[in-house]
Amino acid sequence: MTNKRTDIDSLFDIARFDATAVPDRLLQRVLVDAEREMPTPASEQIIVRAPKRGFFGLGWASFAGLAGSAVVGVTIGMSNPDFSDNLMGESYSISDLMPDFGVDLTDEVAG
Amino acid sequence: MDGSDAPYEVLLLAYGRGDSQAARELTRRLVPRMFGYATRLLGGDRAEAEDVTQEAMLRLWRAAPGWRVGEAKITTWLYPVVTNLCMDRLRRRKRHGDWPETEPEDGQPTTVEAIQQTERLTALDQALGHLPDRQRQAVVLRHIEGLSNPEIALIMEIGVEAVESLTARGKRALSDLLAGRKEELGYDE
Repeated sequence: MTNKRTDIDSLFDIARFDATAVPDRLLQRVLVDAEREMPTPASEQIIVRAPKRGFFGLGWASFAGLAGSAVVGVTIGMSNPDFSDNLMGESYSISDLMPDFGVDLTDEVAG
Repeated sequence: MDGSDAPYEVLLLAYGRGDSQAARELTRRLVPRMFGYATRLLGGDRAEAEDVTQEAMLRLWRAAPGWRVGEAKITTWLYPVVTNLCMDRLRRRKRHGDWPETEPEDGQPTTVEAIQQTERLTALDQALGHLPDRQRQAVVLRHIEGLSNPEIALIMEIGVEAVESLTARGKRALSDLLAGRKEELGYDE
């Protein structure tokens, strides 16, 4: 009986130290997935932040007339970066919203 | 690097900030461990174990941005993911009455000792395949992965005494299964 347990322990030792040689293709597949899923570094993002009180000292109401996506963009810009991540599900770039965002906003507020 | 999870967590956080090197390091350290564990749970089926390991790591990559420091150990999180993926496959096999015969792969080492090593590992995998799922999981985590009973209890979501019971019964069952193969596997009577 003691011998049986010793033999099993020996098998466990072999299994424990067995590299269970990982196929290279598996490592490659995992790395490809990692690359694809990797979050974009913060330094590569362009995040527009508007002053909390809005442009030209005006408050939230001044943005009421903006198109929906522009409002979203301003909201994101005025909020904590985490909010933008949660809202979009991923970090965003201003170019993903409206390329001429700043110009449109200025025009709208001035009008 | 020691065996604590702090380095894993540091690496995962770095990955979450866009660090490719962290991804490579995590892959190098975690994939062999999870692949070995999956292979044993799946009775030696390496092809299935590859798919399981890739899927588990994919879930880890996706969890990285929201990972909270100190909330859980990476391994405590990852082992159950691998386990559940393996159990899904095992349930499918049982429904189809299909359990693969594990054979040594082609291209294995040719020295006598290496051949014997391979045969012993194959025999162990086959015997593990005959254990009930939870016994097999407990035995592999305890005696091959080398985790402590409290760690296993966390992973399996059971009490420590239940872990001790499962590992004891599992080890006894393996002894009985392999008793008739001592000579074949090169063990003295």
